[in-house]
Amino acid sequence: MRADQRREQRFSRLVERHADAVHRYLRNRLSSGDGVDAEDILSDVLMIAWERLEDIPPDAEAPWLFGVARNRLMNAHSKRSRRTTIARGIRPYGPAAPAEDVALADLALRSAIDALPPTEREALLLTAWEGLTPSQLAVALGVTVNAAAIRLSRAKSMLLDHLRRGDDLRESSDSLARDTR
Amino acid sequence: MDRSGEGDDLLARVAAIEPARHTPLLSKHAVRGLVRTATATERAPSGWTWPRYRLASLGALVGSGTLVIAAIIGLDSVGTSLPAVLASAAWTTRHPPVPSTSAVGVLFRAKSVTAGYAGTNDVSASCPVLLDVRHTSSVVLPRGPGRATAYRISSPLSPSRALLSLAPAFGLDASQVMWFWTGGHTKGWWTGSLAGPSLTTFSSKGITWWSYVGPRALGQHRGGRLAPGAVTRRATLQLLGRVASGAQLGALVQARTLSSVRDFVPLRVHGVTTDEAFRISFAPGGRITAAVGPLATVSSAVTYPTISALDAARMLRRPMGKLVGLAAPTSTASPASTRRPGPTVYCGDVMSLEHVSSASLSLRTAKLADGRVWLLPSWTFSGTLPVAWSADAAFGAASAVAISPRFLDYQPAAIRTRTHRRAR
Repeated sequence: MRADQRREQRFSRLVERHADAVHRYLRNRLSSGDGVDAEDILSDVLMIAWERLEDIPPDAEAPWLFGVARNRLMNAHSKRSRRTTIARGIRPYGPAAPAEDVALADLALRSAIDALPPTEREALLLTAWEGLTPSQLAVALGVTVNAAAIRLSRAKSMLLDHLRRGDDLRESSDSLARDTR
Repeated sequence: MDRSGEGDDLLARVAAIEPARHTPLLSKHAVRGLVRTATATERAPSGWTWPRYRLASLGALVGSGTLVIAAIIGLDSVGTSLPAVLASAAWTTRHPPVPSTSAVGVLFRAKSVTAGYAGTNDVSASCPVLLDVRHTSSVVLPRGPGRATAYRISSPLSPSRALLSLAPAFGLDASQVMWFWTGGHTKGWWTGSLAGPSLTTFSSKGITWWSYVGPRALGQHRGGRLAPGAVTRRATLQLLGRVASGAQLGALVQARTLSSVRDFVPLRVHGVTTDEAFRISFAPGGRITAAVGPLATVSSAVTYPTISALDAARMLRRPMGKLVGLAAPTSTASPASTRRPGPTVYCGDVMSLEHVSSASLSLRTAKLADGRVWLLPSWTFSGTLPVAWSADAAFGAASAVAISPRFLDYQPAAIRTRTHRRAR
């Protein structure tokens, strides 16, 4: 088999193994009205993967692709000043959506995630949504394993703090109780 | 404070809200296409093809909580303005030719109704799409009753008060109440545990909503044999009864109007189906794992002249805009019109409804510019698509307000479309 044929074969296998995951990664981070198309970016990511096939670590293909996808997303959003949101409708359209999906849309949590700094948010979502291990997370973020672990830990801590609201909680519940008398 | 357990619960909870968790797998054909595109010697721009459109539409359909994209057409021209595309041969072979100047109806895709966007920044969450509707003359659409009633609805409790009132109905003591920003300057409220049970209240489109997640609901599967209908019906009635009592409602939902209690309980007003619903999910055995619904009651009713389903379907082809006002039926003048264009919105899709085959009258929710929320009589259409479009920023199935247009005020928006690239 010629070298170029082997290269094409390797690339084909890579796409078969990881295209779904990258597609899902992009869909997780794009919301309606973004003006950015997940399929376009997926094509771009795979074009880059084809060009840089030799740079892709064989034991970390998916995280490497996520890293490229993340950069492409940032480029696509570079002119937008809006905070990244994970906006999803609450109201179900038609009878298809089960209650879990709607209830678990979890506005409080989404709001807290949106408030995280971008690097911490990405560490959290790559772990929770893409299921990356700490070493894979490091590849995807382009940092050391230690740095990736720190970002994830910081993200979880910030998220919990945001959900609890610290001193604001006491004040809010007290004022809430007064309002309802 | 030991947060290790909380951290695990937190990750599980984050995992549960993954937006694209139901995204279907790429087909083998799609994967081969991706390989071909990437390995082409020239870096030609990828284009729209039927499988790609269908992929995008299925992904949006199952992966998004917002409005769905159903069937779409493939475009085969590069950078072509849309009217010319719509006038291509593929469109004219099966139907009478449609003049390009009138072939395009502008619709608004239903905006994302996360509470943070209700009434604020709502344009950025909407995306108008272009729709071509053709009506085959062999289908007879109903003329309708000639008159129908619109209902103004409101919530008796704000989200914060609703949380305190409803918590006991769900077995929660609400001794610790948390709040969060839903976007803009609107607060939502929640109490309970990250791993469930928890209760959240928020405002969406001017109406207070509640959302309950049962204990350890994460990871519950709805597969397996469901409990008998009598069990789930009883659990649903008990839950909704407690909600109504807690919210001091005169029961917007009457027990006798329940048609299905497995998961979806549509609300009716005087026998007319609305687009509001309670949703309740059950674990095998009948235990409620999650529930969500609105808190609303009818505060007034106004009867209007209505148009036929055919006239309403034709309106789908005309540029509409966002419904912002409703004039009183006694008014003889057109409602005060805010005819200046709204903000520019992005539109990337062109949709086609091959033909409208049937229509039914129902009530659809609309929040107007004055903040009032109405259930408006609307024709809901079905055709060749499983899910279709709203004509006037109301969401749901393909629908257009049935009230005579002279009582309706729309704010048009400037539409900006992107250039579609040549399909490979």
